[in-house]
Amino acid sequence: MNPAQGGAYERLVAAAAGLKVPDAVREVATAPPRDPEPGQIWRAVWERTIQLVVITAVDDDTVHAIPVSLERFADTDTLLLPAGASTLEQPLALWWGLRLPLPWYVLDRQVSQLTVPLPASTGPALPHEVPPGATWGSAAPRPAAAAAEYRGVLADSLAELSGARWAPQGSGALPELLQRRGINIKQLASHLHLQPPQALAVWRGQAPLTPEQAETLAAALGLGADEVLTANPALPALVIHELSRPSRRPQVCALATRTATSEPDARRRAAFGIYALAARQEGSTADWGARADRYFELHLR
Amino acid sequence: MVNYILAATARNQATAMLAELETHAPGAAQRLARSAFTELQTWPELTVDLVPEARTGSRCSVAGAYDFGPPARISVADAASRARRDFTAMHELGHHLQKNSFDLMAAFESQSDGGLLLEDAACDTFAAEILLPTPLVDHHLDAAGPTAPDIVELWRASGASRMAVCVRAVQHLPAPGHILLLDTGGQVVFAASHGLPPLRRGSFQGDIPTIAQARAGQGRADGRTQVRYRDGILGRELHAQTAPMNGYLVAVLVTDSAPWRTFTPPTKDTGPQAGEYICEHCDEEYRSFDPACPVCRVPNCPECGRCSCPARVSEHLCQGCFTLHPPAMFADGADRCLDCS
Ligand SMILES: [Zn+2]
Ligand SMILES: [Zn+2]
Ligand SMILES: [Zn+2]
Ligand SMILES: [Zn+2]
Repeated sequence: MNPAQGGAYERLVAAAAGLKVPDAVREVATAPPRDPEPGQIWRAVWERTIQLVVITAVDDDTVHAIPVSLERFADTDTLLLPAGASTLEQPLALWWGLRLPLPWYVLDRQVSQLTVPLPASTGPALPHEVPPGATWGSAAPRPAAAAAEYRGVLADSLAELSGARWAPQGSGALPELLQRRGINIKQLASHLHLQPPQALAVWRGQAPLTPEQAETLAAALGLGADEVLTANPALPALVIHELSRPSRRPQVCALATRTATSEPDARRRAAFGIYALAARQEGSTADWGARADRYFELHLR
Repeated sequence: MVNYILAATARNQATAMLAELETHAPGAAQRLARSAFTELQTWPELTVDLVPEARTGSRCSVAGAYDFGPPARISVADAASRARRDFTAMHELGHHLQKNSFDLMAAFESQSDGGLLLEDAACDTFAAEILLPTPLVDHHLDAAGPTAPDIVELWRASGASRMAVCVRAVQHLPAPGHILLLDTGGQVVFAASHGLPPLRRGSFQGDIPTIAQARAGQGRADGRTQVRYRDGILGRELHAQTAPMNGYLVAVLVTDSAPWRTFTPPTKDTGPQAGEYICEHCDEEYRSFDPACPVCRVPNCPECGRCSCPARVSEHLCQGCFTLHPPAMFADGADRCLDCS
């Protein structure tokens, strides 16, 4: 096997196996995951892709992330940090040129923390100022083909993570569509063989139709299946945000195990469950965090 | 005045829920009133769990939740008072009943929000009906309407929660108004409104006249005041009376016919005049610079697109005969039709 094809993470683990794990690393890696912050190094995971990244900026639902590897390959857009620049106590390569926005929900576990401030950079240009002891990589100190291949693997991983999606993208027009066609809750239930609570949730736009259900309903309404499917509900941004937080991931994964489904399926199920949950709360705005806590308490006990 | 309609529809719905309950589990209403948890634990299709309250420590804790499953689950926060737990459990049972009966959910189909508000309001009414039997309520609340000390007495006599008592009391208000339950900090812990824009839980009312006077003294006060909506906008002037409720304060506020006075004329409607509104139909609070409707003087709500005119509901539900009648069948402000009053 070409060594360039081993994942950066496996490489790191292999290298770290021969080292004493710094206390600071052990501490963050075993703590419950928290919301990301700039300067942190995280393990990002989506389906079969695993990659270490350093976070440079945090938005509502995304982080800006740079792939990190142990210093072995580099290109001219790679910032090489000395061992003292992070709690990993290892020289690191930050592939600045491969920086991409990643959704929060691919962040799996914080591994480490930079101990030097990252240079500010605006736009695609590389920053001028670098931390003490850091240098920009040079082209091909190693065999050029291997370095290029390694870079390609990193670029693919990051693109994979950046494109990860789970939230449904419906227009939310289903309730209107049903009402225009004069379909009441009971009729909807009999068309789709749904129990009363499920039928109510679909009728209110709080639960999505599966493609098969959309097809059945479309046939009954004399519409195209796509027309019905694209009218599926969208989720409120705040619900998506709550379920995207790294602290929710262990709960989502536990739910996936319980329901024998994939992680994205479990996340969608939880999101609509939280959205449709009838919850009494004090205070004037919906506290999605508290509702999500209650949902997982109900489903993971 | 769609809040009137909503309250009346919710009461109608709660009556249907009680009938559904009796069909489903004969005699359950009495057993639930005695011990909600013991009774619910015998229902095979339902799981009921007590969970620790407010683990996050924020004010916005979830007191209870219903997940339709399957299997259907109710969770109730382990509140300090048994009465409050029971009220929450009954409220969640209300969701279970409504979400599992096509007959009950038929009432949602004519609501602009799919019946979300109605479902929740009916849960409160249902819970209050179960936990406060009508004879007991009628014994404590005068036909002229509830005074604040009456409400406290009913609470002491019933063993029901303060919230359940507030929900029952608001049904007996003789005029548009609110029943508020406030904590010692002056924040609204629970609000039941009738015919006026509803007040949010958590809003601060501790410094408005009468409430401030009550907080400074022994909890007993009466006078006139305006409640505060978002961004400090004051509602119309109301007659107010308060009474202490063991660590809390209960306040009765009405536009007229205050039960604690022999004669109270209607207060002037000096309500929100600025560009700040609460939608009559969907409760959205919004600011608008759009031209107002010439009839109701309220610009369209950004959420549901409607002004305050009762466009879809041209009829009122009579609370005596539960029949829809045209407005002409009601004397001004009356909630019973001419046949019934
Ligand atoms: Zn509710
Ligand atoms: Zn509205
Ligand atoms: Zn109007
Ligand atoms: Zn009547």
